[in-house]
Amino acid sequence: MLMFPSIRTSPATIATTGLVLLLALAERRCLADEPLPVPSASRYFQPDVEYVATLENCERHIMATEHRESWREIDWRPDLRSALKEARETGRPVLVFFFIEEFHDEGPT
Amino acid sequence: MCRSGSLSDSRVMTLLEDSFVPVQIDISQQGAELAEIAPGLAVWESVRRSHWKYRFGYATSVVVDGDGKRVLAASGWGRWWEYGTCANFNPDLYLAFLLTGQERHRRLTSLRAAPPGPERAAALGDLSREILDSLHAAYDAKTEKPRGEARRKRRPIYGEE
Repeated sequence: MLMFPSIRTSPATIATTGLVLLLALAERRCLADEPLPVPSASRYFQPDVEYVATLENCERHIMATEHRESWREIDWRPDLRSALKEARETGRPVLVFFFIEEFHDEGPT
Repeated sequence: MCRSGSLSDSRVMTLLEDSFVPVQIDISQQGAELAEIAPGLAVWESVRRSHWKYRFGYATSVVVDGDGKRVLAASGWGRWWEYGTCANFNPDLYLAFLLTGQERHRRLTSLRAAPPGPERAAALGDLSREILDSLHAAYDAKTEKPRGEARRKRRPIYGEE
């Protein structure tokens, strides 16, 4: 208070700030999961691989496979209308893969 | 993630080439016309509009019939806490998802060709219920993000039950 006489700091403000900091620390501790078996790129394609759901394993999986571009070789149809037309003609079901290429700012919704 | 993961698997690619009509949709660009072209898929656009988080990430696969009215199977979201249980990560699960959609499409086609009657109506009802249950299992059941101890706890591994 002596150093910053223009700022009025009530005990409630100090307590709230401390609580927020404690919560942030607790959340950070939760994020630090224990080290678990790593599904490397070679293990990923083995049928008996163990998939353990942790944030680290998921990130490692994405980093190990993100360079793969084989999906581009699939004969993706140019639009949904023609795909449905083709499906009706050939009697096959349609696989629709929904994605978002990049962030598009659409304004408030 | 799903494209470089399950969709880059050779078995998945072969099945897609042989038995499906694959199409990619950037839902932020083409979402508005979904209700007109394929009414069954309109709900995926409404989901995208339901929360701001879907502006930053949206990856899911849906099998739909040629009319675009009846959804047959869906793969789920593939959030990190579903790692191990979601088809987006695991090619084996993605293959199972595709085969399920194909089998349901076969059943639906044969039911549509069958003469109308109470048996056909009951079979169609059973199929609809089965599809609805699988959609709930794919999207609803795994939306709870684990916290604290539950977050560190091992999740069920596919095939371990």
